[in-house]
Amino acid sequence: MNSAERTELERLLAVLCDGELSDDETGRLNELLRGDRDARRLYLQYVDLHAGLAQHPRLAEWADLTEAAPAAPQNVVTPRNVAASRTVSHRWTPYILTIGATLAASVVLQIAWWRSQPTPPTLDISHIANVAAVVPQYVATLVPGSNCDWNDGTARREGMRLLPGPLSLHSGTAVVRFDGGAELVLEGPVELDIDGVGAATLHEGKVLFRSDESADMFRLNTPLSQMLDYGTEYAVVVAAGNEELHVFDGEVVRTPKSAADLAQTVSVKAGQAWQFLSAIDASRRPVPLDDEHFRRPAAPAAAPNAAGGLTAYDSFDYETFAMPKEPVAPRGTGFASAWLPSPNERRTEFRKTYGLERAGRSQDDEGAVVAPHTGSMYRLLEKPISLDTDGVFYFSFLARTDKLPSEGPCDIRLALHNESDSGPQHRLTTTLSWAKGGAWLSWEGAGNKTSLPIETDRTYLVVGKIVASRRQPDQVFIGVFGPCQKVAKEPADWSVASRPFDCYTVFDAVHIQTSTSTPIIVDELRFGTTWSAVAPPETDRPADSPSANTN
Amino acid sequence: MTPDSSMDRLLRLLAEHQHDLYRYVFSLLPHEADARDVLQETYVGLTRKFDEYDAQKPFLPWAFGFAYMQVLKHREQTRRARNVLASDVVEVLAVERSTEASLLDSRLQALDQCLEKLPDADRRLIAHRYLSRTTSEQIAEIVGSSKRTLFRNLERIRRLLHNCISNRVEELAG
Repeated sequence: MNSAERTELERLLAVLCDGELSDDETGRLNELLRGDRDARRLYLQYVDLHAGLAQHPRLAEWADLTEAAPAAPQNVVTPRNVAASRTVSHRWTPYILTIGATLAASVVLQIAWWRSQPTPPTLDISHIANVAAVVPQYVATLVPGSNCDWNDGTARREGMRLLPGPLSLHSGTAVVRFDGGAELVLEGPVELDIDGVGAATLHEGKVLFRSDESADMFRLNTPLSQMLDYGTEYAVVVAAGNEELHVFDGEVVRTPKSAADLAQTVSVKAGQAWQFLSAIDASRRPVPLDDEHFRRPAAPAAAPNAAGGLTAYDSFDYETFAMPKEPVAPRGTGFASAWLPSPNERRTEFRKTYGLERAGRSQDDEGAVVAPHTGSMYRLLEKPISLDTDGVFYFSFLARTDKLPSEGPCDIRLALHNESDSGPQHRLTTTLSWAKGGAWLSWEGAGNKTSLPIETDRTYLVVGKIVASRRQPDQVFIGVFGPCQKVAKEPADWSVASRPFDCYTVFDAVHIQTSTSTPIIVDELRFGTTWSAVAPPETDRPADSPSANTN
Repeated sequence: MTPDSSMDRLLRLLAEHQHDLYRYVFSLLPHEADARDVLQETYVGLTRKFDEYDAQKPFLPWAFGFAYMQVLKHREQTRRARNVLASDVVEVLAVERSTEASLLDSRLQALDQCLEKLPDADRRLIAHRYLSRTTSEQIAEIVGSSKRTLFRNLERIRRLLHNCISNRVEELAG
């Protein structure tokens, strides 16, 4: 049983104990148990634990921790109750009659003598979400401006993922980037429904639509019509009983909802603007193209200080770095320990080297670390990343190798995990591989991979984004950027995206691991809550002071 | 041995081993209500056949045999989706459950110490889940979380206990 199967089995067993398995899950459980002795052993231990908890005497000592007094044990299965049970009384009764009163008296006398145990109570779990069931799919990413005021009062973070559903913006500006490539700029007040990866419904308000030739076709519905874009930029204003369409670039095909025939469908081209009146009367009239009014506001302003949102930073600008020969000084900010050799690793060696550079980068950074061969080190985070909260977390690092080995791997991995949980299946791992030419994400069966033209003698920026939610699925993205790729803003496309999953792990440790026989250099490790904190403009580098905490 | 003494002895054995029997039945029939029903049927069977029990031999393996037959009988009678485990899987598990019985007992003993390590919040959740007859919605409201989080926390706690027990058993094995 590999680690992914073990994780899957643990999840199925949890559903078995607290929920109800679907037919597919039942089939999968049997498949896992049928094929593997270790799986059956885990099953037996797990269900025995569950049954043991139900009858453990210590729980009775915790009864005061519950809000209500524990219910009196019901359906306690004792031999006496067998006699009283409606289920078996027809079988039990003849036997009692045979034994007679002596037996009945004996049974009664045993009641006080028997140990009273709590029965496994029935937990009504019929409404608990089944985490192994189909996980809802995210379709877009939100970039809210700093001036956003949402009608539901919910604060929405930069980079949060969106499921299909309503968005009600009272005031301010926000950008919704759909996974299909299109983008809607909302200017409050706006009432919008996200219908899917390539569709939305504007009930009221003003939106600016943008996409390019690489994006999928997008369908924007309004109370009066449906609009399809052809690589365009256009704006729509929906008010009571009418709507306006201003096309700035490309072409939009508009079909009235009440149209009985296609003759009512119109194509509106760049430079044109129309006002459409009621659905019944499909009349329209031209209006002045209001380029300035709609294009101002553009995308909301990014945070002026890229360091805002930075939670941990290590520039690797050390005076000396010779792990594991010498202890490493605790430099950097936002870490709860210095770099330490990973336990149970056979070879661990990292040395100081010259800092990595990217285009436009300042030249005063002297530090990076190099792993001449396979090695692993880790340090603890001051601010752990919790998947059981609502938040968006970013991380990034620079990596480079100047030579491929003649054979074998040439990989660097950044792994997040919880220090108290050493299981490899519980590590979120980002891998960049020169030997295999690609990047991949590993995480409890939700991982993914992609092929990339990774070359030697080039410095790559690897950025990770973790979208965590208490009530919605979690998701992880990885972006790999070459030396000349601009990273001014978070991309609409990522190199690797995980499948949405459900998890509650808290990551408090970061490992850097290399599998290689030729040197790999790593530099500029960052953690933050905004894109700009981990992929800052090259001139905006935070101060790198020694960490206050040591190991 | 008079029938009265025989019955007394049976009752004492059942009282002593009812948890062990429930755990055995539940491992093959992982549904609480069904496991209780089968346990009742097992008691009936043991009562009827107790005069055939050889007191020189351990009680539990003999009782497990009855329990296994009742599990199969129950599966045959119900024939519904609640039969989570396939027949061939039950057959293999029954054999392995018997061979693993000693280890499982050791693990159960270690559970006590591992429960001690749980923080109050986790104890509260376990107490709600296993002691009080409250719905998931009520528990979620009491502890102030969503049902989704409640479910995941229960999973997390059981995993913690499982790992703790494994470590404890390994330590004791030297």
